[in-house]
Amino acid sequence: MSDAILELRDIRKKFKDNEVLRGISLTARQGEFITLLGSSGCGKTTTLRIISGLETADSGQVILEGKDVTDEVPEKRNVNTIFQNYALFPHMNVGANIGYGLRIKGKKKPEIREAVREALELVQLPGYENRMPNEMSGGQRQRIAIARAVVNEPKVLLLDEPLGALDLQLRRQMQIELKRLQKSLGITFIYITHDQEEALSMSDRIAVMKNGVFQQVGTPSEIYDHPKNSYVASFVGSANVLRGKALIKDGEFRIAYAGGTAPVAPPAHLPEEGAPIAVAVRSEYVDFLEAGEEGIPAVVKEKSFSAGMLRIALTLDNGDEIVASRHGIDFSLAPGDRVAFTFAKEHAVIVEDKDEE
Amino acid sequence: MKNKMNRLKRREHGANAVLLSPMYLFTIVFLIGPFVYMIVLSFLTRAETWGVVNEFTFRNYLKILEPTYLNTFWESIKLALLVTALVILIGYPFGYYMAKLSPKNRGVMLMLVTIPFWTSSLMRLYGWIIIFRANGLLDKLLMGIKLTGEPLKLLYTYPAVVVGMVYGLLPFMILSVYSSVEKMDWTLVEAARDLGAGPVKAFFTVTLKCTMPGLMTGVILTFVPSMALFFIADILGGNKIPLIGNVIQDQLMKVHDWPFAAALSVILMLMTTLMIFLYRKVTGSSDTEGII
Repeated sequence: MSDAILELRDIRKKFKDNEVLRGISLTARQGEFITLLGSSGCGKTTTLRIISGLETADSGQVILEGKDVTDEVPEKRNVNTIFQNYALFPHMNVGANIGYGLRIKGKKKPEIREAVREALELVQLPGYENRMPNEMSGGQRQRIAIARAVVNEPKVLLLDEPLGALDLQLRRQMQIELKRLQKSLGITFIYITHDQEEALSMSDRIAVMKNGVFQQVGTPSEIYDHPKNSYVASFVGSANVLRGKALIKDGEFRIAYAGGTAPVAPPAHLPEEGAPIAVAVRSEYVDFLEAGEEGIPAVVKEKSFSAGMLRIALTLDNGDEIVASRHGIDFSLAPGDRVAFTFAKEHAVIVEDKDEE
Repeated sequence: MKNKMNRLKRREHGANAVLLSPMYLFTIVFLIGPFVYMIVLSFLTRAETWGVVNEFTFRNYLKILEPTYLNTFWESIKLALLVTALVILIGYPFGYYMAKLSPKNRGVMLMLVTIPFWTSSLMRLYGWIIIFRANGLLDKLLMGIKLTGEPLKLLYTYPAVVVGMVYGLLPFMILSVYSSVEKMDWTLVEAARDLGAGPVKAFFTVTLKCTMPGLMTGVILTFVPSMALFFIADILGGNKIPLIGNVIQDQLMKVHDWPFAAALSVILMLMTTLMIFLYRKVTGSSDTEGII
């Protein structure tokens, strides 16, 4: 990859006895939007801090524009960070905040003023130079933080849950704006979030992280449709993970699970009959059966309705819980009803089982 | 809606006034009262033998313009500036690193800094006499390691007074710097580094600015008393270094010229007020961290 702008090679990091990163490798191309997705404590912020130089890796390398910057101090790296709490300097007005990086680099005053003006236009807050950070709303401060970073024309912009503090509506709006900004500037974004929807809608590629390891790195559709393991499947799009045994019946590959069976897309290497397998099925693909058809028996536990989706929780005979979902609120089943379900085999994929959750 | 809010606010205000009334009373009786008395006193005439006569005059203030007293003011300001500068140089780094210690060590350091307050400052000054006097601890130490051949006789010199004052006022600077460094948001420094500032530049453009309220509080708590700490100059300076505090004390206790002592005090107060005014200018806020 000749247009690789940032490369992480087998990064490891320990805090005291706590192994936070256990061999992270990633290559980011020019202008790519990469999201590190994971729940808190998975090591995504540490990864970001190692890229920016605010933290040093115990081993491994950080390559920026083909140069090894592993031991370089943060001020020498051509990357900028948008901090979770924005970290605007409270004693400086907006203009001074945005111009800080250029001032440090010894740029001339008129040049800085012009760059600040342009940056403010870019984030759609023209004329805000003389405001103080504490006079602004969260969304505005967010934009100032973006302006303060991009005005330095970094090669890579690091964003640490930048929208975490904003309310849902503003979040959606800023997501669109960030994406637009990233496209127009052509800067590589390394974006941290724990919101899988945000990751799926914004990213070129997603790295799903857990316990200091990338579980899977791929495009949103790869991650969503072909989760590599049970953790990715359940974390992204909250798929059901069924842990049963392989079964071949009438030449069809199926899973024997909770007193029933259902078809599964056959993997390249068919497991032996009776071998334990884990299968991921998204809630929207769980189909209910008419009486007498072969499937997996269950009891309706509860129904809830939110954001246009009806969520039906099912309890299986082995005590496991499965979630099915439908669009719209109309659904005839009631809690306590006995049902049976199955799924189309193309929507049931075998995943590597990661038990420790 | 707004009306209701206002009414609520006003009612709250009324309740507060009742609850706060003892504090107001205390302030009037023990602070404003004596202050007004002092101002009135400064415009009265000294009686022949004892006390004052009720005769209005500006003479007390005119007397301050005499070279002896002007010079005393000037000397006091110079000493106070020197002491304050030294206290900043020692106290700021001290408070800064103290705030960066682990919570456990921080507690120990806080304790060590505050322990001197448990004894009277007068007592502690006598300790310095033992150190400073001819053939005292310091002389013996310096001669012991062959740094000097003969006793330095530091007691009753200017440096002794400076050391005594720096020693006495240092904890105030340490504690006020500590309190503002402890509140410091360190991601701001990280942001500065991220934007290209080296550690030194980040300190001067961000950390120092953010901890300015603490530093300025420390400056006021150092500068103002060092103008008036007469007993340090007395004990360690042997009355050879007349400061404004000493003059006031002498005028009041020895010469019994109360009106003149009052006039000197009023001028000193005005200078103090000016300092606080400057403080607000520098920090750009009226928040004095609850100390003043």
